[in-house]
Amino acid sequence: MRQFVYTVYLPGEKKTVYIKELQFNRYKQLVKNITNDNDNIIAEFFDDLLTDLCPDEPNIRQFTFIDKLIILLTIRSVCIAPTLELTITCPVTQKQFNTNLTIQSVVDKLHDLNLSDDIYNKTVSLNDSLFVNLGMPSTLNIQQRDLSIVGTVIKNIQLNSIDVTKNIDQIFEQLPVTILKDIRSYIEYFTETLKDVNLFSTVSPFSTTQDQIRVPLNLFSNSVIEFLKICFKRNLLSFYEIEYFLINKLNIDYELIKTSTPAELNIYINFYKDEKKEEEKAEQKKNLNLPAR
Amino acid sequence: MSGNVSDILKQLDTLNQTTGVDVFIPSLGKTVKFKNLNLRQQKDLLKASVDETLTKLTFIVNFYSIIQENILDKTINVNSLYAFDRPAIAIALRASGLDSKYAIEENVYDLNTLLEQMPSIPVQTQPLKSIVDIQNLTVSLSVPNLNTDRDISLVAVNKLKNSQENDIKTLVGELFIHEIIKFIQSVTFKTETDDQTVDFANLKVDDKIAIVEKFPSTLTSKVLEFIKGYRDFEAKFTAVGDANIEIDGSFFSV
Repeated sequence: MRQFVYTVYLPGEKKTVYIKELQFNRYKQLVKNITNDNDNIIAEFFDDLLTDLCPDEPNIRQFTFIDKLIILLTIRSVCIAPTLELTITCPVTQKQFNTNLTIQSVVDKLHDLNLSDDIYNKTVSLNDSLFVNLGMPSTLNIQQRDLSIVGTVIKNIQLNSIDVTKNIDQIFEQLPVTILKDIRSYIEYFTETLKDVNLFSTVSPFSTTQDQIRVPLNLFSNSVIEFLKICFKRNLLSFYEIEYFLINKLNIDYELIKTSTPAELNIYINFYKDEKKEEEKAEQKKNLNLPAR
Repeated sequence: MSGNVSDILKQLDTLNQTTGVDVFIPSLGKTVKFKNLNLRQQKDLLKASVDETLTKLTFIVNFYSIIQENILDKTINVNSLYAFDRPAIAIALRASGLDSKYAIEENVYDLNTLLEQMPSIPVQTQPLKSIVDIQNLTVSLSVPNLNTDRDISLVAVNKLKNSQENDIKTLVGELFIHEIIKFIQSVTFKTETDDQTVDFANLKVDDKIAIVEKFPSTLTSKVLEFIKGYRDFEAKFTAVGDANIEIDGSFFSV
């Protein structure tokens, strides 16, 4: 029996992919990693998650970071909650305010970018013998602004008609810097194209200026991984409270808890809350109907 | 061609040779073919520019290796080239491989214009060699060859790389003395009976320093005067408008 799947369209791959549900236990592991705050491990965890939840896509690790972001946000919206509650500190007054972000609105924004084909695929060459195919980075986390950035946009290298991409680690440093000039131009073009795109923006109700507080779609400033961390972050203790509550109060089997989505577990909790409310109402009604002594 | 890594590296090397760049060498007065820089070489240059105190010295050391590695005319002895050839080679490799535009503050300069002017800069003996006589000492001065410059710089880097930031006086003093000894070819001590000449090429760096530290201040001043005259000459190869390009590892950051 095939498990329940949902779908999302990916502009980079130009196709719709199927996604399996994010189960509670897996989400708990993700939150543990986010709490531990090592960006490399978190990015690796997201890649593993994508591989497992999209089993029909064997090359998902090579998908563009925007496609990966779309899938992860869709998972967040479907399996955890469709909105994200944010508490923001006003940069001018330092006062805090709350706001809600609909995750789907971010996905829609990413769908509507309409990036030109040369952002996804561009070839630079030297002397008709070296051809380097460039494309949007796949990694969700780029920490260094050095030459290693160049490696993230190289998708394929052909030398004298032979594909030498698999040897990139050994040959990367021997590439002539003249080719680097073209690669740098591509990175500048890519950065310039995305520079005004915000994953999220709002204006503080306390500030008199209309300056926006924003999270840009800038892979080279860590804003993508930071945004994902915000989207998936949750108090780790709450997982243990939920497990304790569901097992002790609702007598739900741990196997069911493990394999349910966080959103489904919320449904059980809400059922219980509704039931309690009904009981309280009934109790109040009973008290009101009691004859006065 | 197979997909073997060593074969691929050979092919890349061949590609780097066929896309070589013509570099005018001022001391030879002619153009010599060089391989373009590769990413590893650029990375090494940039890494060396991180330590600001020793950036110039580490650049001299690194760039010597690059010149040895990238010069395609193997009949030329790199050790016979001079320190003022280095900026000419660096500017040509930067302009060809990375970017011919170079910005100093808000002004952007075309390095190709500078390269076109280089052959017209006269290279004469006057600022490059000199003899200084003070009392019973005769000092023969010369612009250092690339290997002398590299060897002394390497010793200085190794000595100073672990020095504390607050030990700035020692650092400046050491840099100063190492710079002076690069320019001394020989010292002759004259006595009533005979002359004794010490050839600096045959001395260890510390022995050179020990001798120079005993120089009377008038002699040191004459040596510094020579070095200043040479620096003015060298600056002609890096002059753009009213400014000069600082040639070190950061020059290769684009």
